[in-house]
Amino acid sequence: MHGSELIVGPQHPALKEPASFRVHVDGEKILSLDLDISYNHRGIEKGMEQRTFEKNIYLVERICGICSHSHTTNFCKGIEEIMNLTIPRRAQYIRVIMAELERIHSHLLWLGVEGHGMGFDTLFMYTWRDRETVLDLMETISGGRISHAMNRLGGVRRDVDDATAKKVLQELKFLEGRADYYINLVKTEKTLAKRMKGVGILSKKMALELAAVGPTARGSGVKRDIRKDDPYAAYGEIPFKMITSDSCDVYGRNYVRVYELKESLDMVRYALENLPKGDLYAPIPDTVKAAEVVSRYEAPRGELFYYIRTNANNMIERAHVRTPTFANWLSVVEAMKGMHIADIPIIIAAIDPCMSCTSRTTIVDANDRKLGALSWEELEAYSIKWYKGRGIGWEK
Amino acid sequence: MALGVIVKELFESLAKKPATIKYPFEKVPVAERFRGRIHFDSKKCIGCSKCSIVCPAKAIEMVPDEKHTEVDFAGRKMARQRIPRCDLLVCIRCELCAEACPTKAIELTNKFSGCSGKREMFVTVE
Repeated sequence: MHGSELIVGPQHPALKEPASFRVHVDGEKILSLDLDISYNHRGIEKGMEQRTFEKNIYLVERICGICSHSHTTNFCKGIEEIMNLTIPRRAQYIRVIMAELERIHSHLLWLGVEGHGMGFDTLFMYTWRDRETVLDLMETISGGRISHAMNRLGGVRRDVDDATAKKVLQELKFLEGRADYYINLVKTEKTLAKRMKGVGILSKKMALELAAVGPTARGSGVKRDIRKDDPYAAYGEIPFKMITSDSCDVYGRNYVRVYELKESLDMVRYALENLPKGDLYAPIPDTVKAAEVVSRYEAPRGELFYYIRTNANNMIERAHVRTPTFANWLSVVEAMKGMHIADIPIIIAAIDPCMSCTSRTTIVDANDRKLGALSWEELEAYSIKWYKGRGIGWEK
Repeated sequence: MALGVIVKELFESLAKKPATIKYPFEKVPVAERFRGRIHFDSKKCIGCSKCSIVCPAKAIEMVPDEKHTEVDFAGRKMARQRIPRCDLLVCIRCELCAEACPTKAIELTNKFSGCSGKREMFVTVE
C-alpha cells in the first residue's frame, strides 16, 4: 500500500488500557485502521464458573470501575430471571437512582477526558470537579465511591432513607446548573464545534450495519436505548426522553451525552420524589434450575450484554460478557477513514473507550525509512498544535 | 468565546473558594456509611467462621485463638477456639462479613485501610 503505517499502542500501565492501532496513512490523511484489542485478558468469565452467585456479584463489579453498578445490576437481573423472582419496587427505584448517578459520573468524566484531549483543560477541571459531587452522593447512598456493592440477588443491600434523599436532592440543584452550563457550552463554543463537527463521520446506515451501541449509535441518529426498547428495573415507570442527534460525527456523540446529563438528573429527581415504600429485597430460593439467560442493560457507554448458563449445582456453567466498548470498536474503524492524524485522539475518545489503551506511537515513514516513537501524550500535543496552526484552539 | 463571557467567568471564579482542600491540615470528609478498615470486636466474636465463608475475596482466614478467650453466646459461656484474621490488602470492603456475623462483632469503620510495604497487613480481634 502506498503511504505509511502509524502504530499506536498497545502497552502502558498508566491510566489508559491496552489496545493496538495500526493506522495506514497517506501524509496526514488516514486511509484505514487495523485494530487489535486482545491485550487485556483477565479470565473473569472463567473465574465466574468457580464462585457462588453471591460472590460473583463482587467479581463482576470489578470488570469496570466506572460501570461497576451496571455490571452487578445486569448480572443480578439475569440470575433473578432464572430464579423467577419479583423484585420489590423500592429496590428497582434504588437501582435506577444508582444507575443514573453512575451515568452522570461517567459522562462528566468522559467530557473532561475529551476536553483534555483537545487542549481544553478548563473543561477537564470543571467536569472533574463536578464529578466529585456525584461520587460523594454515591458514597452517601452506598458507602463506596466506585465499588458501591449496592446489589444483591433479589434487590438491593442498602436503603435510601429520607435524610439521604433530601441531601441528594439538594446537591442535584447544583448539578442541574452545571448540566445547563455544559449544554450551553456545547451549543455556543465555536472552537469546540470546529474540532468536532465533520470529524469522525459515522453515517446512520454504517452505525446500524456495524451494530454501534449507546451514545455512539444515538449520535448517528439510531434510536437505540435498552431503557426504552426493553425496559428493566423501574425504567418503564420513569419518564425520560431518548436523546439522538443526526449530525453523525463526534459533535453528535458529544451532544447526546451532554443532553443525557440533564435527562439523568431529571430521572434521579423523579425516582427520589416518587420512591415507593416496601421491602429492599425479595427472599431468594435455595436452589436454581439449570437454565440459560440473556440479560441486557443500558450502561453509560451503551448496551451491556450478559449471557449466563447455570447448572443444577447452583453454579455458573458458562458466562459471557460483552461490554459496550467492544461493540463500538468497529465504528471507530469506520469513523477514522478519511480523517487526519490529528483527529485520532478525539475519534477514539468519542466512543468513551473503557478497555482501550494507547500509549506509544511508532511512526514508520515508508519513503525515507525513518523510525520514531511517539507517546499518547505527544500524539495529543501534536493534534493540539496541528489545529492551533489552523487557528483552532484555546490559548494556554 | 466572547470577551464578556470570559470576564464574567473570571470574576465568578475569583469569588469562589478553591475546590481542593488543604490536605495535611484538613482531612477529606467521608460519608456516614463509608466502608473502611475492618474491626473485629473481641468481646462479641464467637469464632463461628461465617465471615470467612462469605468473603468473596478470601481475605478472612480463621486462625487458632491461643488464649481460648471465654465468650458469651445466647446465655452460654464457651472457650473460643478460633478467631478471624483479615488481610487488609486483600479485603475489598464489601461488608458481606458484617452482614453475615451473628453477633454483630464486625464493623467497617470510617478509618482508611492504609498501605504497607509488606505483602500482608493483618487485622484480627482486638
